[in-house]
Amino acid sequence: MNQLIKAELFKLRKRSMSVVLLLILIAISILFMTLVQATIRNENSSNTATTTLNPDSSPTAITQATPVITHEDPSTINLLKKINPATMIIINNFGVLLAVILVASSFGSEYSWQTIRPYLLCCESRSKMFTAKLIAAGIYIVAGMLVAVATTAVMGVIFTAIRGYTWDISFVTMSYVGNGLLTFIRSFYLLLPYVLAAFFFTVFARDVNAGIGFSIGILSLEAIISALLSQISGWVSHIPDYLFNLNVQTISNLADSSAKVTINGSGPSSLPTPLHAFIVLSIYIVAFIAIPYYIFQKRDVTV
Amino acid sequence: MTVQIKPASPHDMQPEVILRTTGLTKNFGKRTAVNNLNLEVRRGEVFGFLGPNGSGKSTTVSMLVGLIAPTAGSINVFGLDLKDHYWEIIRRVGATIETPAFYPYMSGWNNLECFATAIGGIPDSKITEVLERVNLLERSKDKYKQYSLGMKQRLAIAAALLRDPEIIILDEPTNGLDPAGYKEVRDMIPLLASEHRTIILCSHLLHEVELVCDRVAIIKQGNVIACESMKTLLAIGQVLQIKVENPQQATAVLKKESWIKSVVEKDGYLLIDVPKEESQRVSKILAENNIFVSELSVKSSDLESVFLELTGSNNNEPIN
Repeated sequence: MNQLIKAELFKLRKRSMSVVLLLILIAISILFMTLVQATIRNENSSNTATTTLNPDSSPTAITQATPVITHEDPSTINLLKKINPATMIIINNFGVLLAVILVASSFGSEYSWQTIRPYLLCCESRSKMFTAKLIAAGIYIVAGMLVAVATTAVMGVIFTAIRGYTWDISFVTMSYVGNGLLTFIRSFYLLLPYVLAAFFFTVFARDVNAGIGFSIGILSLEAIISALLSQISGWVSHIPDYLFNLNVQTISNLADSSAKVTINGSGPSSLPTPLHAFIVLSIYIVAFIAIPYYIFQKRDVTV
Repeated sequence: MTVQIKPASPHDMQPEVILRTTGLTKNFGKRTAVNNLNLEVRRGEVFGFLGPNGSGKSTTVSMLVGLIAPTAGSINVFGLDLKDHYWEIIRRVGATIETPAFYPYMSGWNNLECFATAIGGIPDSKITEVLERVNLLERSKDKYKQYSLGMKQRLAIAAALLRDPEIIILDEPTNGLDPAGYKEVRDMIPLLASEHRTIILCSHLLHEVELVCDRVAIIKQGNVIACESMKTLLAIGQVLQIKVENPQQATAVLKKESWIKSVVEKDGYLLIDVPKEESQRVSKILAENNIFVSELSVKSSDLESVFLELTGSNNNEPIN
């Protein structure tokens, strides 16, 4: 198993697409922190002294997702405190797209290049190859998330130094670190339904485009469809409770107010309970692993 | 202490059966691609696997390496059932299946490195060795997508050799090779066999198969129609060629004999379809009728003629 994970990581490392996706993530992180910093400067004249993140951020508009930070005196602005929530916004709004592309192409390319045949002959079993692919992709996604954290941290430090913001890091307590770690894990968990949906459709259709297309379709259209369904009376209005969007929002709302993250736009005001959300998303996650696993085990490799 | 040496029985003289299929069948929906295939491949032999397009060759080969699950029947390799001992078997088998397929963004070397990592326990020196063997070491750092089809074929053979396999399955290994490359591969096959490896060669180049194979199976519409040693197979198409003064009279005499399958006059010669052991009998019959043979020889057939005869393919049909 270890050697199969090593081989998968080797493939991802050698592939220029992985590097390009990582560079895009870094570029988005830099751009996002620059916008955060610019917002602080523009809002500097305001008298409001609250520091919040917009919980209804949309993936299509960075400015909407940008934390609205206002303060009177730059030396009392703590940009460093915003690094963690800003990173989570980046990961859950943009990282998810990159992760979907990575995972779908990791499996789909084996079909399009027809390497699935010779590669399978090097694998102890199909299930091990399947598991190794998922683990390797997971490692790359976590590494990407850490790169995003590092990039926003570096940008936060750079802007703090340039703009003369406060260097106060007294907020970094054990509780803060614990919450940060929990938010990180939560963000990873919230990526899984979308990423595994891409994986599911890629394996099912033996095509990378199918995986990416379906997953991005879910990301972009589900909020609209959910909003329309919720307008209809009767049981149909409850369908969105069993889709991704509302449940993802519920889990993301578990974060404290300064670190709320959302993947999609706003939905109906009543969200499912956290337990409901966790169960529904977990069912999707398990199904999106188990069904392709079963298909891949049984299917003839004839391409 | 007396050591008694038991004389070897004819059965013991045969090399062990290293691969056996029993009742192997594959249906795709209502279509039967392979039907009740019973094959035996012996250790150390070069086994040719021939058949026209769509005869079930590639399906069979894919089943032999576990890429396709049989609908019925079993595959036994090294005395183990493939279904139950997949990795134990496959790690000892090297295969090139249909067209070569590798990661286009990696170099030839990196592709082999990736496969070697997945298999495990293969040192870099082995990668060098197999690349050298297929004359690809110099270009091994180039990207795979820059390779010619011939180079891709050679890389596929190198990949098959990576795990030092006891059985090598080569599916159309000379596709896309230039004459020099073709000869290289053709020369490599007996060399690999001489290293106590068993080679299963699927090829549409019948001349290639005829030159290197010890035994051949011919498959048509999913059924094995012949599985013989090359010598036996070529004997199927053997005819006795004689020259006589009066061919018409000789033909009339010979056609009366029921054990003679056919007599054809061609270019002043008579071509008689009988086993070569019967040449003396033919000569005797003619002499008894005052017809004297001035020339007598056995005209050997080539594999292509035998193949066409057995498969009933016409000359326009592509052989694959």
